[in-house]
Amino acid sequence: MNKVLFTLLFFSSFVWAEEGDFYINGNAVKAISLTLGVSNIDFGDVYSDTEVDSEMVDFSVNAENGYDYTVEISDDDNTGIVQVSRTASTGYTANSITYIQTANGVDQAHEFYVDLDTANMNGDLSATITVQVAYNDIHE
Amino acid sequence: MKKLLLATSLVAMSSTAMAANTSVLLDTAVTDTLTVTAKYVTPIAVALDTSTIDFGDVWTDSLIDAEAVVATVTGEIGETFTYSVVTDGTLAQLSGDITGTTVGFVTSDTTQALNFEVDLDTSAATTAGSINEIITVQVVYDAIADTVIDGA
Repeated sequence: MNKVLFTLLFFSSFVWAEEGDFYINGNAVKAISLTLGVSNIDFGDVYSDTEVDSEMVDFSVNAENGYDYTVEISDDDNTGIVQVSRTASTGYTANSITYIQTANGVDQAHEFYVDLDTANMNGDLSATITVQVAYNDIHE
Repeated sequence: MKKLLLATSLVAMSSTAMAANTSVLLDTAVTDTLTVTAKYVTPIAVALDTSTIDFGDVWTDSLIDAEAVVATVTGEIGETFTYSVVTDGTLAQLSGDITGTTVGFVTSDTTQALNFEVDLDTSAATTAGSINEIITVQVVYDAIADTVIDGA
């Protein structure tokens, strides 16, 4: 009888001790956010081969310090008229732009430029440029 | 007893390993958009029905008939234009539609006709030799909308 009682007490205390040994490990990462400084660019009246000035679009990204994130700038214009570049004078492309940046934990300024390749214009233009940001890797 | 202890430990280890990030927001891309618009306008153009006027032989105070010229301007409906007809000399005399502003393509018609006449001031033609002047018709839109940027 004494033997049985001793065994039950030991087992009970063992279980109680195990419940206190759980550790929670995690890294709090803020949600990435994006703020665009321009909502609409109206290039006004244009015709074939019109010289229009490129326009700058600024935006800020706020993400966790030290984490890499990818920025993608794309548009839905499939005629090649809308051109984007990360520099004002060169590098314009009708395709999307993708690059990786390391966050610094505060609002990080970005910019790109929008121009029109008016040589092929023969009608009104209405396009949408989409800026997308996403963390490259979130550990699970 | 040993089996029971072992089983308890395995359950504890398993439940620890199952902890996972179930956040949807962190793994979801964030997007924002802006629109780009432009209005295509027909380039303004002008065509003359006359390329050369040869008044033939003239002398001082010759009586000659003025010649009619039609300039056809093509442009965008809704736009207006300014025009001028000038000569680079002093003997050609211009009359009719030789200057105007805010002439509009206001109807469904995309053309406007400018009618002017070219005459010669023969009283001033006192020097022997050829008279050679160039008459230029210039048309230009009054206003082409510039770029407008809207902030977010």
